[in-house]
Order: sequence, then C-alpha cells, then structure tokens
Amino acid sequence: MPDSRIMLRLYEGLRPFLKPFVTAVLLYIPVTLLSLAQPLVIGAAVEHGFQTRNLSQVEFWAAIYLLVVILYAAAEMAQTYLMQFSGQKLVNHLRKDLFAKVQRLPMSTFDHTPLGKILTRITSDVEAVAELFSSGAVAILGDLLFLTATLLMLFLVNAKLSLSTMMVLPLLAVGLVFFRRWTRTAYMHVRVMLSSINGFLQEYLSGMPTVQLFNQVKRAEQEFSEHNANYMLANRRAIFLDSAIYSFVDAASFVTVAAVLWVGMGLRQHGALGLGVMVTFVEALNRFFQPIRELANNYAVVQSALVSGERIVEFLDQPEENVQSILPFVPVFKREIAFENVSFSYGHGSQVLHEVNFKIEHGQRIALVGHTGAGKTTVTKLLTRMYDATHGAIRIDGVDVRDFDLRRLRGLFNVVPQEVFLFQGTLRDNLRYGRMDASDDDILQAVHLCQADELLARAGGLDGALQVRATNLSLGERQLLVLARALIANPQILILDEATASIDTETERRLQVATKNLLANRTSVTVAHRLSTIVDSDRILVFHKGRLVEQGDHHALLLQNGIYAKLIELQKSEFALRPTIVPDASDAFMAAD
Amino acid sequence: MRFSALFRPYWRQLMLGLLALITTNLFALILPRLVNMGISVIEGKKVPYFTSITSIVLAILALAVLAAIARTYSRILMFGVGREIERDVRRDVFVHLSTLSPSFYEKRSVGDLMSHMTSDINNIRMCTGFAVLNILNIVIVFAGTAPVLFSIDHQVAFAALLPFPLVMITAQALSGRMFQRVREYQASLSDLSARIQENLSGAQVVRVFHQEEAENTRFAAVNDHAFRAAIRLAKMRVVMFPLMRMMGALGVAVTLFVGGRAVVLGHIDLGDYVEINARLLQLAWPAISLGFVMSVYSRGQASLARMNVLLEARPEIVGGALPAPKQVVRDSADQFFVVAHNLSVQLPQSAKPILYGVSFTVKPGEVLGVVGPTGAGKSTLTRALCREVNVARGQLLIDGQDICDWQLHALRKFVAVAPSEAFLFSASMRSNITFARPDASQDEVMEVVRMVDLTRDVDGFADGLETMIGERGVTLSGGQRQRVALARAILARPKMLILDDCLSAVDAQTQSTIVERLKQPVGDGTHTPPAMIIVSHRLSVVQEANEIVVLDKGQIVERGTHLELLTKGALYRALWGLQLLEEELG
Repeated sequence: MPDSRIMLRLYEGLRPFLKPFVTAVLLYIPVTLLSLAQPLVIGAAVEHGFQTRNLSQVEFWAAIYLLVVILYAAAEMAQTYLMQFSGQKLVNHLRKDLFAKVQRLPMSTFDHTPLGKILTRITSDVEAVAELFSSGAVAILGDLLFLTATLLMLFLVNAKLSLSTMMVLPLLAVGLVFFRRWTRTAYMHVRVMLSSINGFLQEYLSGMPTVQLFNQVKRAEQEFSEHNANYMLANRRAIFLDSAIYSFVDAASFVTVAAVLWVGMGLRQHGALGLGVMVTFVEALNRFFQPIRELANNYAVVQSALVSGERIVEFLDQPEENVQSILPFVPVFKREIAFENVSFSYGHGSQVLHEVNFKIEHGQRIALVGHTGAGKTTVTKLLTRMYDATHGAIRIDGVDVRDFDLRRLRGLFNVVPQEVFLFQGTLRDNLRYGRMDASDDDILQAVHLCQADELLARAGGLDGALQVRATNLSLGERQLLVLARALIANPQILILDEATASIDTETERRLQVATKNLLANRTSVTVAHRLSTIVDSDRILVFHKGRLVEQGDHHALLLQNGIYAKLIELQKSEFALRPTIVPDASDAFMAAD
Repeated sequence: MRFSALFRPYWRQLMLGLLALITTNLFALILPRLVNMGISVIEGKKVPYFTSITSIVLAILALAVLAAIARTYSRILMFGVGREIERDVRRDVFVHLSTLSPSFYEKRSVGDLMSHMTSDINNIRMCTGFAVLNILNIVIVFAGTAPVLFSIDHQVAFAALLPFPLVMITAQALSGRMFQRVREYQASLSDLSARIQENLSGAQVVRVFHQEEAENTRFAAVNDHAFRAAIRLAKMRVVMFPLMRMMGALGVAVTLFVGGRAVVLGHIDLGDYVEINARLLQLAWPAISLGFVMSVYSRGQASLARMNVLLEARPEIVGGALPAPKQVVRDSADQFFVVAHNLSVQLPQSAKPILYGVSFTVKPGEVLGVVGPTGAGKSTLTRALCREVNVARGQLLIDGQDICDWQLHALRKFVAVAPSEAFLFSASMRSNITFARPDASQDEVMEVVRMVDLTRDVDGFADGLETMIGERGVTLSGGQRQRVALARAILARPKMLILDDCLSAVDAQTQSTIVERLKQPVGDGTHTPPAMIIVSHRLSVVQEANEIVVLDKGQIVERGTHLELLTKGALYRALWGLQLLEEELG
C-alpha cells in the first residue's frame, strides 16, 4: 500500500479536528522564525553593540533577545498542545472506528484471526500512530522546516561562507542514511527477541504448576536463559549503533564550526566578512545539530507509524457482515422456518452439512440429536446467520433469511450457547443483556423461574459484580444465569445448546427446571443431550455425519428402527449386560421410554 | 535485591565507562576554548599555543573525532551494564518464580507478573544504565564547565549560571507529577485493552443479542477516558519541555546583557563571549535532563521495591530430604503402597477443612476410584497427593515414607497427573506429549498416542505429531486436549498415575477403553502398570476399580467395589441412577 494512501486515510480521520491540526502546522512558521532570530539577534548585538562599544545597543539587543525567547516558548507551547490534541483526537477516533468495525465483522473472521491480532490493531497499532504526535515525531516537519530555513538564512547572510561550510552536510546525510539502515535492522532484531522472551514468559508463567509437576523447571530455566541472553546481545548491537550515531552528529557540529573558522579567516583577510556574521554562524551551527539528531529518531517513529497505519487501514477495509437487506422491515414468523437443500462448509474445510431439508412450524419444540460433529450446532448458527449456507436457502415464512435486515432477523432469536459468556459488570446488566429496558421486577421474576434466587443473593443481588469471565461463579451457576438471561429476553424463537460438562446434581436439577420454564409456549430448537428434553420435544431431528437422517417424535423414531433406535438400543444393551445389578435404574429408563 | 549488589559484578566495566565519560567531557571542555581562540586569531589577536588558524582548525577536528570515539565507548559501556543487569534481574526473578507453589499463581494474575517482568524490569534497567550515565555526566559537565566559566569572568559566569538551579528545581518538581500522569495514562490503556479483549471473546454473544450499539457505547466510555488521560499527560509535556528550554535560553539572554557589557567595557573579548555561549548550550541539555533522570531514578527505585516483594514470596510447599525415588521404592512393583491415613486438608482461604479423615490404600496395578458430587473435595485430594497443597493433618505415605519428607523433585518423578482442564503449551503436539521426557523415542510416543486413542486425530492433522497446537496453531477440542494431557502424563512413566476427571469430554465408551489400556503393562512389558487413582463424574469408568470411595462434603461416606456400593451405598446408587439417565443419549 502506498504511503500516500495511508496518509490519506489517517487524514480522513483527522478531518473533524482539522482546525487545531492546521493551526498547529501553521504555528511552525513563527516557531521556526523565532528560533532563527536568536543567532541573528546575537549577531546584531555583536555587530552594533560589542564592536562599536555601544552599551545601550547591547542592552537593546539583549532585551530583544529576551522577548524572542519568551515568544518562542509561548509559540512552542501552543504549537505542541494543538498538535497533541489533534493527535489524541485522531487516536480516539481511530479506536472508535476500529472497535465499531469489529462489531460488524462476520463470525467467520474470528475463526481464522487470532484474537490477539485484532487486539493489537486497536491497541498497539493505534498507539504507534499516537506516538507520531506525542513523541513530537510530527515535529519532523518542524525540524525539516527549521533546518532548511537555517540554511537559507545563512546563505542570505553570507553566501560564500555558508556554501563552503555546508560542504560537510551531504557527508553527514550519507552517514546518517547508512546508520539509519543499520539501526533499523538492529532494532527489528531487538523487537523480535523481546517478543519471543515475553511470549515465553506469558506461557510459562501461566503453566508454571504444570512445569513443576512434570519436573521440567530446570529445562524451562535453561530455555529462558537462552532467550534472555539473545535479547541482551541484540540490544548490545543496537546500543553500539545508537551511541555511534549520537557521537557522530556531535563530532559533525564541531567539524562544521572548524570549517567556518577556516573559511571565515580567508574571507576576513579579504575584508569580506564582519565579525558579527562569524558569531551568527557559530551560534546558528550550535543550534543546528540537535534537530538533526532527533531527525534520525523521529524518522524511525514515522516509519513504524506508517507500518501500523497500513495495518489499520487494511483492517478497516475488511469485508463486513452483510447488514443491508432488500427487506428492511421486521421479519415476521407466523408459520414456519424451512431449511431447503442446505449445505455448508467452514472456509476451506470439509462439508459440515449435506443438503439438509426440514421445517419447523410455529410453536414447535425441536430437538437436534446426533454424535459430536454431526452438524447440530452448525444448524443453529445458520439459523441466526452467524454463517450463510454455502448452498440452498433458509426461509422464514417463505422469505430467504439473507433478505432480512440482519439485526432484526437476529431479534427473533435468543441463543443459549454451550459455552456461556458473561461480561464483567453488574448482574443486572448481564441479565438484561438481550433486553436492556427490562425492569428489575422482570429480571427478578425470571431469576425466580430459573430457581436462581439463592445464587443471585449470594452474588450480591442485581448490583453484585461479576469478575472477568465470571470466574467467581461455578459453571453450572453461570449456565443458570444465561438461562435467566434468555428468559428475560423473551424471544420468539429460542435456540438452546445444552451443556454436556459435568455439573453437580443439585444445580443440574435446577437447570432442568429452568430449561422447562424457558421452553414453555415457545418455538425452540435444542441441541439436546438430556433425555427429558428429547422426550418432551414435538419433533426430533437426527443428524449423522452432516446429513439429516431421521425425523419424527420419540415413538415414531423408535418404530422407524433406524439410527435413533440404534442410539437407544445401544443404551439398552448396556443395561442388558447387568440387568440384575441395577433394576431400579433400568426401571427409571423404561419409564422414560 | 539492591542496586549496589546488582552493580557489583560489573564494577570494572563501570569504572572504564566512567573513565571514558571523563575523557569525553574533557575534550568537550577544550573544544569551545579552541573556537574562542580561532575567533581571536580572526580578530587579529595573539593566542597561546597556536600561531595560525589552520593549526587551530586541525586541533578542533582531531579533538572532535577523539571526543566522538570516547563518547561512543562510554555509552556502550554504561548502557551495556544496564542491559546486563536487566538480564540478571530477569533471570533471577524467573528462577525464583519457578520455585513458588501453585497457591502463589492462584493469587497473582499472569498479567500482573508480566508487568513485573516487562515494565518494572525496564524501569530498573533505565535506572542502572541511563540514569547512572546521565547523573555522572551531569556532575562531570558541571564540575568541569563551571570553573572554566569563572576563570573567564566571575561576574559573567555568575550571571550566566543563575538560571540553572531554577531549571533543575522546576524539572524536579514537574517530573514527579509527570510520572503520575504517565501512570494514569498507562492504566487507562490497560482498561482499554481489557474491554476490547472481553468484547472479542464474547463476539458471538454480542451478535446474537444484537448489542453492537450498546457495545460501542460501553467502549466509548473507556476510550474517552483514555483520551482525557492522554490530554492530561500532553498538557504536562507541553508545559514542561518548552519551559525547560526557555530557562536555558534565559541564561543566554542574561549572558548577552552582562557579557555584552563586559565586552564593551573590555573585561572580556568577543571570543570569550562566544565561548561562554557555547558552554551554556553544552550545559543546557544536561540541566534539563536532570529532572527526567531524577524521575527515572525514582521509578527504578519503586520498581525494585515491587520486585523485592515478589522475591520475598516463599514457596508454600517445601520438599524434604529424601532423594531420588529409586532409593526409596524398589523396582519390583508390588512392594510399595500409597497410603492415606486420616488425611485432612485445609486451604488458607477457607474456614473449614476441604477434606478430613480420609484414609485409603492403593498398590501398583490397582485402581482406586474416587467419586462424589461437585465440591466434595475430589480434586483437592489429587492435589494433596502431588503436593500442590499441603496436608493439614494426618499422613500420606508412599512405601511407609511421609511424602513431605521427599524431595519435591523425587515425588514428582513418582506421580503424574492428568487434569480435566490441562495446561498445554503453544508448541507441537509432540513436544507437548514428550514434555516430561523430551528424549522419548518415536515408538514410545506412538505407543501413548495409541493408548489414549489419539492416533486418528494425529493422522488427521497435516503435520501429524509436529502440528502446532494452541494460539499459533490448531485449536484442539476439549476431548483432544484432555487426551494429549493424559498422553503426557503416561509418557512420564510415573509409578502413580492420577486421572482427575481427565476424560470428561470423551465419550464413555472410549473412556472405558482407554482406562482398560492403562491397566496393561507398558511398552515391552518391563514396566508394570502404575498405581492409579481415577477421579470421575462418570461412574461407569470406575466400575472396575479395586475400590471406590464416595466423597461427600470432604469426607468418605461410602466405600467398596461397584457391586457392594450398588447394594449398600445410598449416595452411590443415587449417583448411578442419575448417571444412567444422563448417559442414555450422550
């Protein structure tokens, strides 16, 4: 991507705050002029005061100098503030855009992009752009302006002297370019080493108990020492180059002053040079080299900001979820949902669903049954358009789901996923997440129906706070809360992915009651693992290796004597092995049957 | 850990650095005087030592080059010391951390430890390299320059130096607040990243609840907070640096006034004036940097103090003196017993003991099943066995020796655990499986892969065993993770193997098959099967166990074989009934 395009995009972000930014850039002019004026004023003092031994002239120019210094400081403050302000505004804006962008990305993006990478876009990359402003790297403009203006001024003051002394500058420029190239590779190496050391630490500190249990502490220490030593060696090289560049510029300043003296002597012997001019030159050169040194540093900052800028622009240009639709009105679900010849595969992976056909009528309770990987969860993801079918169509009351406004389509559903997710914040905010205008009474009622009153009280009531990932609650308790959350949202269609993880009996019982309450009088699609849920369903869809192989109610499916019946048969034969041992449990099963 | 101790190994390098620094400054001190002489020669005056402008110019060139070399050298030495100390500290802290017990890692978040290992170490390094170099430099520059200025003219020197104390005091005063603002800003950034991380992890929930707008609003709050913190910091910078520069320039203004007067009155000549100005510019930057250096120094002190808190943490679990297990446990398998005798475990944060009065015996080749509802203390029992937690009362004996008397190293060679939520490394499948024994042969690895039923999974990956797993590779399913963890534990060839509900995400049939395989002799049959403790929610898995103990609320309420428990164990029977319903359609 060309730098100009990145700049253009960054500029787009800056547009709302153009006024402070332009003012800041314009302020470079007085800042530079006031800076140039300083050696000129000293030169004038020498010319008109020192040499003519005129005390009032000296005092006059000293007063002028003082004024220039104060004005300079004032202009510099105003300039830096405005620059920082517009820079931070830009950063704030970029972050907002990036975050909003993340909300519009399709779920499939998260399948192939590590979360850390996205996080880096919004944090480190934006900060690298911010660095452009806060480190004063934008001052690279000011520095260049200052250097050019100084050269111009010296040229105007005395062309011959300036031309002959500035002979060193091309030399300096070439030297800096070389140093720059070396230091860049050196610093890249340092960064690589640092990230490997931190990656190692992050991992081994998280897994330290495991390392200890398997007696691998010594090995970990050795590996760490290696990373650690490599990092130091990389740094040493960078230090060498850094120190050399610093001293190199330092030496160059004296070389130039020497040149001024030498050439100045010649010119003076021909009477072509005033002493004031000489002093102006020496003073100007004293001030000339600090910006050059910073130029090299700032150049690096600009480079890394450009790299980050490019990543940001690329990220913002990614395809989004297709929210726009032909039918922007609220989708209606009065009759049925139909899967018509639906096939699906994730990315380049193998096909997960093969030509699936079925209908869900309004008010029905549907159970999806089958082995892990049979495609049950995928069916639910296609329904809510987390993904779009590769072939075929899903219609609600005859309308293709792709034609609806996406947000509104999802408004029909509420999903209770297998892996519950709660946010850091109050229980109230978490519980009403699907319906932010729910009253406290609504919430408490739902909590009661889910038998989670005691849990709520223990967690500190509606204002009680959940930790990150709700680690202060057990898995079963988290699931209870998520069921309550779904009940509060009161969706037209409920999608429930039952958890398989082991949960203690008491919580399990509560979960069953909560599930029953949630499913009552509602269209629902359940990825079912509990027998009670399955038996109570209006219709069971049996999936096998991505195909819908059987459907019907429990009894009908048993009569079909197919895969469903075999699943049940398998269980039965396991009992048959020890019928005498567990008569009561067997009875329980037969009763359910 | 103290700064003086950190410096000790590098004192030679430091002294050399100091020498180079003094040399640099000596050269830098002479250079303005040479320029002064040059101007005097151009003015047509006589100067000592030099007869022509050419010789002065050559002297300037020579000194400039020498000064550059000496300066480079001094920086390399001093900054190098900082980097070496950084390495030492990082290594020492890591080694220390690796001795600390799991309870430490439960209390401290990895993020917190990482910030010790990154920003605190960085502060310490800055303090040992950058700050030391600059403090020495400032002292040398002022000690060298001030007398020279006074030797030119007392009055002018006094006037010229007048603003400098002011510069230093202001810098010092502002840098403290600046530090504060930097911290505020950094805290706001870490809030920001926490918020983003949470949003990313909950991406699907956000979408199904169509809360995108609400999320944007929530984000705006932290984002704007970060903006305000950044602006507050910017304001400090905006005032601080121009102010510092202005004060430096004030010195030049005062010199123009007082020095100009002296030139007019003939006390000093023009060359002297130019020299004084040049020297003032040399002083300006060190003076300005002093404030910064002071804040770097105080930050370094603070970070070292934080680090020391970490270093003072003592391991909660300390090993005994009994060395390698082979001296304790004879190689013939059936001669050792693992015995728990009236065991109680109490964790520091809980009021009641998690386990009490637990007793059992396991022999090699035998299986002890541990079942019970969530929260009964099953995992705590396994943690006590490998000394992740301390036993409060009672004893755990292996071959008659209390496990507290064993060296930790020896005990951990003896025991291996496969937990239900195992920590796997972002490395290849192979290096995860061979974690405990990196030198295991290909055959051995394939053998355990087969035992835990991973062969099909491994064949399914493009790179087989070399497939990277975790963040930088493929994401394993819960069942695959558990089986990798189990393979890792088996390959460690422990004498006692603990399965802590480690196949809960694998179907019941496969789980039973795997457990059956574990009871067979390993490899060529020379290794007898280990003593096994199997904790499981699935009762079918422990059905064949030699003994099953049913834990409830920290104690053993029922015990016996499967058959015995079905007839006489009320809790066990209840659990079994529930289990059957659960497993029907798994």
